[in-house]
Amino acid sequence: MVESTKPSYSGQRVDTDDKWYQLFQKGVELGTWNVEKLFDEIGFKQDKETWESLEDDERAQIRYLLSGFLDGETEVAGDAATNLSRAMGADCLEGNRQKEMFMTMLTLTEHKHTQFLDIYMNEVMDDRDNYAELDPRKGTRVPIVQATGLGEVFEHQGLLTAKAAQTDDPVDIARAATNYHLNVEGILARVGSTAISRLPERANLPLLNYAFKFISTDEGRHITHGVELLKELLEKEQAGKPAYQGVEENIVSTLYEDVPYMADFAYMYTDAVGDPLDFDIDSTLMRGGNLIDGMYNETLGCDIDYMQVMDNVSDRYNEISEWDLESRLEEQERHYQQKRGVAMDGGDD
Amino acid sequence: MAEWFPSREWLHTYRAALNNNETYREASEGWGVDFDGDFVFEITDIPTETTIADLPEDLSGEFRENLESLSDEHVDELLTDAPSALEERMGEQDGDDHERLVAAVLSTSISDIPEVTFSALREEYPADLDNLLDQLEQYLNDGTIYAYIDLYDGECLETTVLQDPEARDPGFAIIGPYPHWKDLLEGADVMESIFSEDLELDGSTTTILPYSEAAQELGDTAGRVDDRYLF
Repeated sequence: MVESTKPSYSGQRVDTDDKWYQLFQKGVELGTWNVEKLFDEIGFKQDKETWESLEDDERAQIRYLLSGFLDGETEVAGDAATNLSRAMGADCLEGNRQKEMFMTMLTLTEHKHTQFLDIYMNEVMDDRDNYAELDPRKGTRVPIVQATGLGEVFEHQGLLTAKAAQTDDPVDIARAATNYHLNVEGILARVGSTAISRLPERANLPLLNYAFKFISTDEGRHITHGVELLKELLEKEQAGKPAYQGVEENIVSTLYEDVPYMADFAYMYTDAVGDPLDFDIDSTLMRGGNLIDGMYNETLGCDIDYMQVMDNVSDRYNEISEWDLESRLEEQERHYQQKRGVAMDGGDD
Repeated sequence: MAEWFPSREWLHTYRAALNNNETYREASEGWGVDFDGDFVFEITDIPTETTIADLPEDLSGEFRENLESLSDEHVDELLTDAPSALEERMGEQDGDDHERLVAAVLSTSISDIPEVTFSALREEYPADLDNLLDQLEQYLNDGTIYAYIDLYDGECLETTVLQDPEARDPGFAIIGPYPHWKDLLEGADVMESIFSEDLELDGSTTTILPYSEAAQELGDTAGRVDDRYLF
């Protein structure tokens, strides 16, 4: 949570007592790590050596995990820069200026995460075709992300944040913040980061590990942003303000809509590749459950139906574990090759 | 009659309640059929510092009355067999021998009972207290009680309290401190207790996922057992 430290200075246009201002300041102070400097100072020689020594299935496992992050970071950076930043100016929110200031830090850090992952995967890992020229902003995600359905939660994010930016409605903002800050950053990114934090026991990738310490710290501030934003909306709903009615119900329903994709992400980098690095889908899903309880129940005080959460994850897990992932991947790649052909033949792209 | 928790009797009543629960039976159909579906409930942090006097009045009250109503001759007889640990405890009390005996015994903690108890004194224990203290002596392992529950295809086949925690190798364990088990019996949601890490689930999450309703009933049934708490 935001620590209430007395600001050193005060202004007239900027409220330096506002918690969003303090989050902004924390971002200025802590979020300014430099990706290129990290590559220069730590280097990637060891990471490359380790990568080359890994078995094929171990490489696939790490690649799948990082692919989820690469696409996720790209999506959150894009939506933060556009839709979410705009939504922070909504009349239904307090302290718009400070919130907008914080969004600049959030956007900067999300872009840095994309920058790190893109360069790392390109320099350290093999030159797998990610169809980058087809533009991830138009839905050309890494094939494993799109083939497993993780991409659907990012689609959802785009739709919800766009609607929030358009309507400025508190319920729409609550749904967007729930998806973006709690489900994508607070659950998916956190469970993935937990796997990466366990990598040193299995594969010596010091640069990756070091960078993820920064990334996790950044994400922590972003989650705080979402939690505080939702608290503000919930308080107004509880105070009986008509425009805010439905906030809690929609926070909870957005969880139920997104939570199945926790199974996609967990499956994608564990059982789908035989889990040679022992990331363990069971502890991954349990970690997700712990995070859900911590954010939704303990921090926001929302009434969560845990059976509903379990049933939604279970149904999705049963569905995806029946898939022939190889053929789905081939299908996805074929589709991208067709798109590539259209682009080369003079299509819109 | 309400059973004391934790005890063998409570566990047996829980088993009967599970087997009479149609919702549980239906929801857990297939559970354990092609995997190990048995559980151990590890109840840690049993408050063994609790003294006999601090046990519920239903248990400690009758014992206190029994001790206080002893004749002085009987007290003298008892003290001839008293172990040195009891004598030491009596040395810390005020009053005559009888008063010091009552105060010393009642201020003994659960973990120290074996040191101060001897057969002649044991005869003064009311039956319920004697049984429960005997169980605690048998089943407490470093402040933890291990309750074994064998669940198979909608039925609870067996419940037992394990003297040796290594005696069984269950598919699942739910582990947590006594106060959180008590919360569960008082109506806390079992999955919320696990997700909030009040209780820890050791076992395959993906196996449990399709049995969410059975998991819920496992917790709710425990909450519906008519019980009294030892601590």
